[in-house]
Amino acid sequence: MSKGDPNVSTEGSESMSGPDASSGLSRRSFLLHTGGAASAAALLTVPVAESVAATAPNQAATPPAQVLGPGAIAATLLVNGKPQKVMMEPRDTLATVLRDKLGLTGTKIGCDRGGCGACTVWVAGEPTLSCLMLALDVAGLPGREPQAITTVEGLGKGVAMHPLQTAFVEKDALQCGYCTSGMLMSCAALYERAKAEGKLATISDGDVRAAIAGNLCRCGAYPHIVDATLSAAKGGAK
Amino acid sequence: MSQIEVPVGIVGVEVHSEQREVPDGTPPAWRENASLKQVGKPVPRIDGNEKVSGRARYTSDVVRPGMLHGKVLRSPHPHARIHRIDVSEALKMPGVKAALALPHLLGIADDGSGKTTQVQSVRYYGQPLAAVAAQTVEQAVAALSKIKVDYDVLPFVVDPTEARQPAAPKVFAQPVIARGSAGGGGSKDKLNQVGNVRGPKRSVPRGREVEKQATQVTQALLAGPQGVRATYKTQVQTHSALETHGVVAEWSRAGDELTVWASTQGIFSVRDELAEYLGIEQSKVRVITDYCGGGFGAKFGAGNYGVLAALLAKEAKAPVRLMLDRREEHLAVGNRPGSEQTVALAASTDGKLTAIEVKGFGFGGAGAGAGFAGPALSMYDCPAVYVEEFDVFTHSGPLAAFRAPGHPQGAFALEQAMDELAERLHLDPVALRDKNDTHPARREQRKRAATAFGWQNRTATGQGPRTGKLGEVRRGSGMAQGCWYHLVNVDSRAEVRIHRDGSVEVLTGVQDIGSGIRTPLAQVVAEELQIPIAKVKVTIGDTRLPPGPGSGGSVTTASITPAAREAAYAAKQALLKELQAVLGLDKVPELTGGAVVGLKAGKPTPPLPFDKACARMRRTEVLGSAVRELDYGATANGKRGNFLAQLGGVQFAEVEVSTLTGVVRVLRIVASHDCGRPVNPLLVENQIHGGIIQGLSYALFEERRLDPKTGRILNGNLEQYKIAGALDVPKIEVLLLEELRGRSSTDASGIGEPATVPTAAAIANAVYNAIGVRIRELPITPAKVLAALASAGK
Ligand code: FES
Ligand code: FES
Repeated sequence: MSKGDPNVSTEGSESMSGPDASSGLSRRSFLLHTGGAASAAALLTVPVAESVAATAPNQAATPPAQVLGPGAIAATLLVNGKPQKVMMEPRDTLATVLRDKLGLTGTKIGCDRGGCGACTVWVAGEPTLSCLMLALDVAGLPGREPQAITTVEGLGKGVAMHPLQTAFVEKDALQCGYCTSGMLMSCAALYERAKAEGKLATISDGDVRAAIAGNLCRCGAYPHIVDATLSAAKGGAK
Repeated sequence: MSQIEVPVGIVGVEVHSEQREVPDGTPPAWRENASLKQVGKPVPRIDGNEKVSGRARYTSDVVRPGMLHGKVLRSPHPHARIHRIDVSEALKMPGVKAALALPHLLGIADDGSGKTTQVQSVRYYGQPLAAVAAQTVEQAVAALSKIKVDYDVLPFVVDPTEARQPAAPKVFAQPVIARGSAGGGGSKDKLNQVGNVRGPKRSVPRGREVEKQATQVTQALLAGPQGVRATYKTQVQTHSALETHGVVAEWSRAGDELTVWASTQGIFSVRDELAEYLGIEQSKVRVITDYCGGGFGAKFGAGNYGVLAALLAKEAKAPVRLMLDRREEHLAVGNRPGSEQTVALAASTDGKLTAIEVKGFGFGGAGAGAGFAGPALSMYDCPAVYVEEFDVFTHSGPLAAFRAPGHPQGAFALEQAMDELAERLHLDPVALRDKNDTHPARREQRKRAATAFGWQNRTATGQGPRTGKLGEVRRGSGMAQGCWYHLVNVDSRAEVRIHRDGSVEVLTGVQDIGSGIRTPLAQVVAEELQIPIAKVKVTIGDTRLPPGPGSGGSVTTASITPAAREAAYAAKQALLKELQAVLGLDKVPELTGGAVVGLKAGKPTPPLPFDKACARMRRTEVLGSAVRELDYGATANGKRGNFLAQLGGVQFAEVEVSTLTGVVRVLRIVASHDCGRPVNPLLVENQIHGGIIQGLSYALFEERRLDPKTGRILNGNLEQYKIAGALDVPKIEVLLLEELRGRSSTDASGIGEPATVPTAAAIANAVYNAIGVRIRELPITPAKVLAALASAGK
């Protein structure tokens, strides 16, 4: 995106919700301004991307393009083990789709730009910032399976809480609770990985801190979060 | 009134009995925590499951049928006059249901221009001007760009040093006043105002005369014989609660009643401010806060966003959710003001303070009351104390109350000055405090924390262990202390209902901002009724409940737990009277060991367990209600001693400083604090951790940066506005005092604020001990460390 890009409006920034000092662009307005085709090309993988790329100017004519967006399209999200059809725009982030379309408000948005970790969920078991992930990138589309998303609501099994959830309550690993879902997803990923490798007993203080290095807690509950994770690991290792 | 015996003293040191005059019907005083079943125990918070499961509903999670999304138009100029705001084009945009200009601005110093129908002037970049409600956030954002504002752009100043120059552009043409919020802040009226400089506000310890103290201080500073004088600077810190400010506003169908879900520390202050702004009755405004994602002082009152949401909802005839984004959060909803303070201390050669003088400036942007006097006025026993504070206005977002307003700034200066004085006198910093501070809790805290820390092993300045490949890493230790106050809000009421099945409800209009007030409420009621905590259902966070205190000033636990205990006590009396009647007992029976025991025809009745006893009630419930009374004896016998009203707090820090990179790492902190009777040590410890971590973050990382050329914020996010993360946090050891003072039926005080006061100063003193160069300006960044080392030739 260059300064001269006609698709990019910098004046618009003055009146955006938070006046933007530098480029005048939020990630989302970039996607918006550059239009559905370009964003889809940038963000989708095969098979759709190929056909979209083919529509770009100066390219040889190819079979008719399948363009997604900019309007809402139906796609499938596999959340907490349940496949769900959702209408989403290509610019919608996973965080907003989870919260606004699926009502899974356990996932929080603290900054909406990758700075705080409040929105951490698992994508295929890996902790991922859902505010930096486009929902379409993990959704199922014709010819592509959805990736498995796990949110805090799906961390436990049925009504039983995950050992980390129990430990967070016991050790008081939270204050306001707004970072808690993200913290849990980061800590539980560490726990599950160690468990799978049979290494629960070796999780150290430093491991936990590293696991939550991208999760901010403004209330400062970190010491109890570390305690809780270590105590759950100890309990789970028995 | 009647007399009761109360235990007074620090448990483990000395506890004795005192008489207190209390209102009739007050329950007897509890003994120390060890004698209690529920109170004083580390009970996990009762709403923990809600928070770890994602079920807890925050304002940002609230969805209402047909709900629209609001966004705020903010000024791109730091200073401008506004002629016209035209929203007509915005109204034509897709999905837009309402658009309007903000009638008048809240949260800024009041220049007396009164209520308007449209904001007339812009005094900071990001100031709210108008708002749009649309079906999606994206539509609302798009529509904002269609609002036309006629600005006269004016010269501005954001640098506080430049703002003091006579020719600097003025933020306010008229003298201003500033009301405080429930969380503090605010400033005296009728102060002198010249250009952007307002003041001085002159203060001395309570009960002393300003003129006399000022003269005495001047004389003592001249006389010496020992003294130090230096200037300290602190930066602007933003609250950065993880949940941004915001509301969901919804009007009744008839349009005459308003319900607001708010991310707030004070549901009643939101209600009252909305009612006043909108010109409707308080009874017609309902504010709900199930959970709030942090506030730290910035979330009192309706806020401009709250007013805009209510107005948009009214115009659109649909509910409106308006949450700020992270950037707006840094711009326009408050901050801890910066400061520049010159501290002068004088002492006798044996280390008795003879004078404390602090003079300086507070930088609260377009807000007044950016002071720092607290620690200087309250901490030390010094015959002459005088503080002079000026506000310096700049074209930037106004201050708000922030966790112990003024105190971390004040302590950063005063406690470093004490460290400098100790060095001048060849005294140990702890010994210097022992000579000048007779506050009983702090005295004990210094002793305990110094021992736990291993203070006696501290090395002389610059002589600490050297590590690192080149010996470039220096280690050092420092300490500092702070003060806060036992504050209560007597406008607090709780209701306790005992149901026929033995279950119990507590109802009161407080809100949980993270300290977890539901749990202490359940504990005190369970203690009084001798039932398990699980039997107590706590309902808070709704202005339809009896009024609770706003959660600021560390007043919540101190204010509402006594009311809850007394309400439980009253409900218990009602239950026992009922049982006397139902069972035909000789007199009112007693609840003991979890069962009701009475006399019938002179013979003891078999113990009737609590729930069985409740089953005998003829009505569905019995009710107890209690209002927070003034502290025991506070008015009647004039025992409002300074010490009883002050909270302490002493912290020791060990740091490592790299002389190559300038990076400071805090290795550990030992903190000793008091909060009266700790009702729940687990939650208290968490609060203390939080205070220390925010203090550390303030000491090393945080600083709101404005571009002097454009007045815009440079780091309005959470990447460049750095706050402490898990890897920055040291080992923290908390030593909690149980200090009984016989002040209320639970004898609890707050802890949120005192915990953050001394941290930055303790770290600064430790940095000095490590490298032998003093850094008198926050935050202590690598660049400042390197510059200080270079200028000292080290
Ligand atoms: S909301 Fe995703 S990182 Fe902050
Ligand atoms: S508990 Fe409040 S942000 Fe972590």
